[in-house]
Amino acid sequence: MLAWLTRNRYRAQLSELLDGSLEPVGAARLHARLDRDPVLRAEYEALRQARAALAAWTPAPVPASFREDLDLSLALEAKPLRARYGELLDGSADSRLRAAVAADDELRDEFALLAGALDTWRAEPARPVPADFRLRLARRLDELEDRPVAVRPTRWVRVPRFALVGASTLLLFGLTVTRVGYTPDSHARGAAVRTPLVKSAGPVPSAVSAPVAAAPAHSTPAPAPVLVARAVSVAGPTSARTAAAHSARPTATTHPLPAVVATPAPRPAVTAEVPRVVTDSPGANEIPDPAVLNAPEGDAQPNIIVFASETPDEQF
Amino acid sequence: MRGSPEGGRGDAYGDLAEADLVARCRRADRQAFDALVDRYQSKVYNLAYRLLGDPDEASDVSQEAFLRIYRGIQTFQGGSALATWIYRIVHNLCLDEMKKKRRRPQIAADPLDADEGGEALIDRVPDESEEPQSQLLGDERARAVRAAVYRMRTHHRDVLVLYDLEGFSYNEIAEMLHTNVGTVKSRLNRARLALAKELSKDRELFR
Repeated sequence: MLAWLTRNRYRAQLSELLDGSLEPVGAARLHARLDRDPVLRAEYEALRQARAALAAWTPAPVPASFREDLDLSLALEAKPLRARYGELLDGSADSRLRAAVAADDELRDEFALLAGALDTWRAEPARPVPADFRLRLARRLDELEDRPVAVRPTRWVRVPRFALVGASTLLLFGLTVTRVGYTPDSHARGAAVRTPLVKSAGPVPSAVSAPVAAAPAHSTPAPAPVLVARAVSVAGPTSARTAAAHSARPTATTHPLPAVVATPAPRPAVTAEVPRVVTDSPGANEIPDPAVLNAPEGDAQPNIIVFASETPDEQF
Repeated sequence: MRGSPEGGRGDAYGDLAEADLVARCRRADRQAFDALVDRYQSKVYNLAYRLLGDPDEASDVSQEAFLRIYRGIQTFQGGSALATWIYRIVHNLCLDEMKKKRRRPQIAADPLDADEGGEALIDRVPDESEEPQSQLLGDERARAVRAAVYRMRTHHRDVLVLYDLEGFSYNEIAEMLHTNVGTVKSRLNRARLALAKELSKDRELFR
């Protein structure tokens, strides 16, 4: 307790020591204490570093336009009617404003100058576009379309088999675990009721694996949704030009998933075999969302697998 | 090369509504894009010229702007007007160009010298069909205004060009400049005052 109190007393003097405002006797005593107290020394060191960092924090340079803007703001502040020149320019000023500006020589001259300048500026005819403008643009657009960036070859990344098996197992396990819940009844019985994912009406194709179990007695019958796993195609080209380029290169373009007719389940979930197309696009290697696979036919979303293509250079 | 280099190649889509034109451009319809260029090339070029004050730079920036529009039309969500979106691209490119210019060593030149991209001397010769004195005065005024405008700070010139010349609203300018309406208004007030001050030494021309 005494040591704690003593340390606190010294701690309060650390800033003074850093500032150099501690009297010599006190400073010597504190230095002696710092030599034998590693905790206090660490605090002192942290304070010293923070102080050094602050000292090294150079102020940002004032923008070149700062003084000019300030002068203009002060001029506006001095005569607030200046801020209403816009009303005079667009003709929405009332007679009081017009009279007030007309009564002030400085404002009247200033406004006359501004209005004259803007009128002159506006009266200038639009500058004609250079004669070769369209020719140059057409060339550059052609180059842009011909550039083979859109057909950059897809890089196939080999994923080890054990990784795929592991990931699939984990996914299946995770989905299964989330489906196991305790209902009040089962809790009373002390038994977990396993809720089936999908009640299959037929044999489950190998491409689609889903836990199959009998529907629980308490499940409410509902219209059977038809689960159709659609062919997953590679992202299609956006133009005929790129289409031709796409077709020229060797790629696995479709990964058909067989159709599965499923019976109702509280929340039907399907784990589909993940197309083994891996690209270098961010997010392209993610496992397709089952919701996408379960989407109706009309809701065509074939672009699950995305080709890496050049990102448009955008600054806007 | 597809299509002829002359303007007006998008005549077939000349009457098309803007939304339809954009939709067609998104489908990489080159003819639709030509129509879009037809509609905006003069505005884009003149905005760039007014901001940069150099016809060659304005032409280069306009070219780049249309290329960006072509590449980026897929990302245009229609949240703002097409014109606002296009002008924002042009404005950003002009700002980039101005920054590059600041970094480059500048050679002092008369901005209105024809060789330096300014107005040719022949253009300054008054038309004989008009009264020579007033034509001369008009030319001098125009020259003085241009010179004053290009002496102004970029952020002042921006709002002045966009509001007083191009006729955009405060909201549209705020969107283009990524700022708020209040800032646009106060900047415009300062810009007008700055223009008046810049022209104060040529006061006699405007009496």
